[in-house]
Amino acid sequence: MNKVLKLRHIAIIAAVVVIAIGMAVGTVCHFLAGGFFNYGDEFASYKSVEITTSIPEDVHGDTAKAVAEEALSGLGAYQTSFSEGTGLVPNKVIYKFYSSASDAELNSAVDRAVQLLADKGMEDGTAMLHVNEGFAGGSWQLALAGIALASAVVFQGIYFALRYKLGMAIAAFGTQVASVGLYAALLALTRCPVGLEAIAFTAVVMVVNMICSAIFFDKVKRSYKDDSNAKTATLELVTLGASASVKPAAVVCIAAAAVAVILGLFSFIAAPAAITLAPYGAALIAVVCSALAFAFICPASYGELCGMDRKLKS
Amino acid sequence: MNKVKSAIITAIVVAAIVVAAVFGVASFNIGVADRYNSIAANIPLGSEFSGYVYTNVYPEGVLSADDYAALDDEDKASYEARGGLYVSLEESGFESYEELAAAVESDASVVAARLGDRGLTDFEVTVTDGAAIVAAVPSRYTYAAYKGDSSTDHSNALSVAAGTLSMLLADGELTLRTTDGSITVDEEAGTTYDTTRFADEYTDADILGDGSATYPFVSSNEDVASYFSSVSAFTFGGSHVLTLNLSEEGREAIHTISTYAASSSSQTMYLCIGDTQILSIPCSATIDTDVMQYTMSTHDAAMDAASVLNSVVSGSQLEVDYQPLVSVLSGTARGGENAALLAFIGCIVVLVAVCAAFVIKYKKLGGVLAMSCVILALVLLYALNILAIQTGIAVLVTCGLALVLFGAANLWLLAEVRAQCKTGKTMQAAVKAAYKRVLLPVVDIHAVVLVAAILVAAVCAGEAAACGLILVVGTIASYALWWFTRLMWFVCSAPVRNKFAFGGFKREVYGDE
Repeated sequence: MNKVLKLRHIAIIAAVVVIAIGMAVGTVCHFLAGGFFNYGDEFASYKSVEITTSIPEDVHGDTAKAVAEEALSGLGAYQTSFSEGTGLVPNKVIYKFYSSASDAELNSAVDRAVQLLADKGMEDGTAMLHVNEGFAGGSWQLALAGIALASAVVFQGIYFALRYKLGMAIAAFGTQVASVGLYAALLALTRCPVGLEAIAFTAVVMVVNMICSAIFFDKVKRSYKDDSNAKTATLELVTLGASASVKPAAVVCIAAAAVAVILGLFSFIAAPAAITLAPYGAALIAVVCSALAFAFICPASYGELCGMDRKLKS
Repeated sequence: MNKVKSAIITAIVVAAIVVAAVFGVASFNIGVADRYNSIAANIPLGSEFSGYVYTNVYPEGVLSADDYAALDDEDKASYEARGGLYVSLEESGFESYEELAAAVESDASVVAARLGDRGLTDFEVTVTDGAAIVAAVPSRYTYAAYKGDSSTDHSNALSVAAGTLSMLLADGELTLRTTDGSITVDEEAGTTYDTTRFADEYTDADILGDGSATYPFVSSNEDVASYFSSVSAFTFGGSHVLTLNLSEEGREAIHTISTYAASSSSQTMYLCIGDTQILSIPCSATIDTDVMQYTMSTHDAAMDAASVLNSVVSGSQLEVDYQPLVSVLSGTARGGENAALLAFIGCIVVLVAVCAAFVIKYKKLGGVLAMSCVILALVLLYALNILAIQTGIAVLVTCGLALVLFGAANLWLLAEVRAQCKTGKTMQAAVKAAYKRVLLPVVDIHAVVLVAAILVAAVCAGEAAACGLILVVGTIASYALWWFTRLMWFVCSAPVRNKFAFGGFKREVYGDE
């Protein structure tokens, strides 16, 4: 922590640079790669193979599932879905593949599925390859979420200004802005697929940050009140506060990350595909951003503000 | 507090936790026919855990492979294969496939916008092979419904999702209709009737579903959408209200139309989009107001109607003439068939890990903390059920965050207790001093998080709002349980002689005894 505070200018510049690079990559990708972020599977385009069987021939769709498994497994489907038909509506098995999947391989698998359906006596069964283009909606929800989260950050600033010091409030505000900026930048940089749950994880970033910064400022405020520190330099007290809050803040961040990792692990067991891990990846990035912002931005920016204050007073 | 009191209180608390936990997580058969589905099994799930309800929408002249296979050879002749679909330009009314594809693509973005405006954040809209739309909304099945243990919940959820899809996929022009064929608003002399699509929507479709024909009130090329400036919906005190804000022109028109409607036999105006009835407006007297408000049967119905009406009022109607929706299908969970079960196991593992960490670090006091953690988990579980919060990955992570908040507040406290012990205070004095020292910062954290959670819950929609709501519950519970832990610490440690050993603390200075 001592080093961080000594190199506080560099810490702040580094964070700004990372955010700037992320924004630049996101902007370039917005024009060249289909979006500022890599939108998740619900909005992305994909290829799908659909196998259908009619109800009298295949009562519960077991044959459709068996044919799909035999013809399509091993081709890298990232999601499978089965819908049991009713009456005239056929059973339907859908295997979803990334857009980059080879048409030749998928067409050959479709031919194989048609053959298998015929072999199993499914006269009405069909197998088809489809190309699907996704559409996003609800952009106003992003705006609403932005307003809500910005209001929360402003409230935190006002609360900290009343409870602690104005400088602490400004530093907390700056840390929140930096952590959300880092989160957006890292999502854009890593091209981690994101859905609208990314908004919810922005709240995770902010809450973890609120906890960590409250711990830090409480420690610093206590050291200010301690008479034995009367002759100690302010920056030194900030350093001590930062060092004392590293452990509890680390516990908070590690615990939050562990929750995401454990839940992600079990989700991966349920559906072993890279796309399954995407939301947990976003959650993990959220926690990492909170930790980075707390470790590098919060004490550094408050230390910088204290330094500026001292210069002004002298 | 003596040993007996301590034992009784501890036993009561533990028994309450065990009972709440059993009813919370265990489902079992009662007799032969009945089944108790646990609180956890009755939480509405997001698409990750219970899948989507979806439908394929085909324009006129576009067929799926199944439907094409059912045609006779003569009918098949006009169709040609386009990807996995079969298209007849003659039937579709478009000059070229490219024109059709462009129109379908434009409609897909309108549908996506409608679903977004509906407040859904978890949905899918895709164009298949350039000529058909697939729209999917979360099934919101409970685990019991998803696994077939509750057929009522399954059919209710399916019907809500089907209602949303059929409403939001309504194509055509906005019309005000009546069952009374003799009523038409007076025409200016020389006006000709335009019966083409997107004009007056003269239709023989059974819009009301009871076989009766309907006729438009406005018989010339009026744009009924211009009667409304906006449409919104809200729920208050159990009433689900749809609010139609009229434009100046609309107020006059509705005044005239409602006068005719009041004189009709049904005394009802039907607000329709194409062949889909959106709202039935009772009309026993002339309506002369700027705002029309009607109660809908459910919150979902009100939101669906508001979303689709707003879309049409703002000029976003579907351009292509689509075949009527035949069926909606429900698919397996997006996160794998057993995603919900495994996520639940994951949550249990997280809880057990947290409890174990507390016990290892703080011995019997850790046990007291673990008890509070289990209570927090149960509070969150019951809140998800009672508030019917749609639970997806984001909500689970937020529950984890509430657990982290609780853990952080308590670990901070215990670190302070440890520090106080090292100054030579007795255990009771150390606990008292520690609570006093960390009270304000703990209140700070909870207050800031609570306000942030309230803002997210109130302002956002969909998954983000659900996360905000559960975080509100989690934050309040975390703070209440922070004090409850102190009570239980007092109760459980009362009969113990060496309270330092109870808390896993060491006292380094013994001067004040």
